Amino acid sequence: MPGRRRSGSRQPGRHASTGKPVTALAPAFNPERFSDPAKVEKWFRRNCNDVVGRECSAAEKADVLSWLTSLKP
Amino acid sequence: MTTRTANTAPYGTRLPALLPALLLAAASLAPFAAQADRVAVPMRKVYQQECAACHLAYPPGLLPAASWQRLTGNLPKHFGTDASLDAATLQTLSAYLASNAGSFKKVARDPTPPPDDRISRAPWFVREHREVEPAAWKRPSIGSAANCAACHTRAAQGSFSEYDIQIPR
Repeated sequence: MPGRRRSGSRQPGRHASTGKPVTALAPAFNPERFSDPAKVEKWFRRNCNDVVGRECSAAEKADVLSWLTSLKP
Repeated sequence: MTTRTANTAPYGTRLPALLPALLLAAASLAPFAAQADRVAVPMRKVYQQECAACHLAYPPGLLPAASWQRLTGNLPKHFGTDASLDAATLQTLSAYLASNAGSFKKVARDPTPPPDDRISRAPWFVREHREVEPAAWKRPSIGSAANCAACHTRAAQGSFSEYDIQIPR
């Protein structure tokens, strides 16, 4: 299956349309994630518009964040 | 078998005939031939940061100003995704793109905006890539004609030299 990677591999994911490598989102795997508030807001704005067609509420953003920070090596 | 006759013209008159051929040879060996077609312009860091997150930072010279204006004015609907920016960054990038637009010689020659403002649908692009079989664009390693870096190994440095092309399987 295209795009399947072996478990435990640290290969970056890839953008679904462009194929550009996307590094890990979970802070435990990529410490610079969520360190820049402006960047976080920008991507929430874009991704929420794309996925749910509107801005995400504060609670929804918090849910995403708490799930990502729960992922540990 | 033809017999060759010796060139009996005096030396002083032979050179002009050879000159165009010599110049052509010299030009093709010029180390800065890639820059000679003005694809690479100074790449602002903010452009790299904001516009290369998902795809290659396309050299501004590859599109006419009218295309860049439309693209930056419609970032929330950017080829199927929301690529919106804050107002200040948007203004900076719009100015950068406007002032560096259309510098590539083939765009300067014909600044008509390509269909959809897509570089890959410009007539010059189609002609340049006419020897690539249509199926090749769909290979998983390539994906689409928008993915320059799949074959142009130095695209990120603004170089699209033929010598750096490697088409993956």
